Amino acid sequence: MQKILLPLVFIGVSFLYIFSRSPAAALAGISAETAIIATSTDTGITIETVAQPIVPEATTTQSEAELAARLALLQDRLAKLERTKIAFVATQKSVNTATVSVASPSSPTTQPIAQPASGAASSGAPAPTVVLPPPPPPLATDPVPAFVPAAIPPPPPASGLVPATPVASAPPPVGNVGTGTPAPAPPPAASGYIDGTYTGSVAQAGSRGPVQVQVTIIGGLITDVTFLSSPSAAGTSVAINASAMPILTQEAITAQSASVATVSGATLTSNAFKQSLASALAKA
Amino acid sequence: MRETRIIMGMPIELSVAGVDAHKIIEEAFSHLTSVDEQFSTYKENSEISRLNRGEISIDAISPEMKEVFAISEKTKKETNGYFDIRKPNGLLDPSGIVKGWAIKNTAALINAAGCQDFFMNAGGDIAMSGKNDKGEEWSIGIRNPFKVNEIVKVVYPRGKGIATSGSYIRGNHIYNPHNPSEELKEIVSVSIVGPDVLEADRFATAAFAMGKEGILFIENLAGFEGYAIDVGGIATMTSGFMAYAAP
Repeated sequence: MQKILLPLVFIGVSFLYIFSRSPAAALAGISAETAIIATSTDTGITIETVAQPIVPEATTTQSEAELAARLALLQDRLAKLERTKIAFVATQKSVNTATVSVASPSSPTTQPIAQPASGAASSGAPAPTVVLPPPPPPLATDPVPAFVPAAIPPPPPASGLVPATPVASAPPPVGNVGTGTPAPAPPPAASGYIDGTYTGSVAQAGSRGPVQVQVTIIGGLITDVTFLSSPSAAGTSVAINASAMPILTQEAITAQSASVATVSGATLTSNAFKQSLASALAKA
Repeated sequence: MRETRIIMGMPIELSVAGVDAHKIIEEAFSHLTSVDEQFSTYKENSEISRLNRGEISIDAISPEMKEVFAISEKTKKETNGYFDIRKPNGLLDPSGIVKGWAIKNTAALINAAGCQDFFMNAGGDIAMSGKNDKGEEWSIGIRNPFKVNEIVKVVYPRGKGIATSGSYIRGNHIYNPHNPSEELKEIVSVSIVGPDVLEADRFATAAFAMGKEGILFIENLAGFEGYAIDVGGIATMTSGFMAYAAP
């Protein structure tokens, strides 16, 4: 059962924003059609922002130094985005997920963002218990993501970009994007990137630990961005990452009076062991 | 008939519906005792102790030891290294697998002897078959990790296995291989219902070692359901767990 974390939808959207609207991104040779896949195995969170293949602005020659500078810029941006994601997740402890995918608006499917499953109800199991935390509010009424667009520079003139579809014009379909709806793909030409795998420097995400990304370029296209490390070491970060779980039913434990055939518990310490042994022998 | 004996350093309880089950019960306990003689790291002359001292080569181990090692290796892979019988000191301690494995095999022996209605509880790992004397599903209580004389949930695994891994274990044989110094204290108890007691046991051990992520791991594991209790006394259950809460 796949569950959706709404905030990550917005973070996914922010990817699109950044890469489609930011002049800095344009400077870095990235068009609106950049395909980005970012995963963080440490957190169990996957963000996929899938669009069309990259399209070059022009076939200008670029020096290695320029390319390195652009790569560094991209990595810095990704590191910032990761920090944003973490900060955002931290504010949304009540919202849980495993995977989020955001498609480009050019995708033929235009269904609205699906509501996250509410607790365990979708399993059809009886729901005799309190569901904590409550399901997140629908996208349209969620006030929090407002900060995402706010942090993004105004759109550049569209002239430099090949079909720059406005990201916010339609609700991005959420769901099975990994299998992909390849939109009309302009022929990829030299993007200015040299094939290979590039590892960024380690960035400190505030008090939350280091972030390091790895970018893979194939055929001149950014095909993968991987978080080599993400905050997980510090206790606080562990707690934050652990909040990114599917919405599972929770309940406060209460003593049961029912009589049972036998009891399942962890193997006991010696004291508890003796105690339990006495009680087991009493029943035997 | 119900009988409890101390084998493998823990109370092992065998309950067989019907009256005349002496022979079956003796055979079952006898089998468990022989397993303990072979696999106990506390016994100087056990096969595992001799292997750890280098008195037996790894090529000369018994088929049973090979089987346990194979299950251990499989579990290590399936749990991304969270389950590992090789301790930080380099010695092998398969006891995390042996208990569930032994109970599963003993249950098969009892079945083969013609007895279909029984359960066997080894330190919280329970194999069951059939029904109780009244023809009802076996009912299992999940122990309150904060009060050992209480139960906090009743489940009816209906022939599947159930196992609990918790923080009040003896010794320190559950740890996080990715961060050995990490104190595993957020989750105090994880109970798993799985296809059989061995499956439930090995994934209970791994899920507990994963801390808060453990229940998520179980949620995504087909054929398994789990109930994790944290230090605050809040239980988190997988989406199909409540299906076992009614007989």
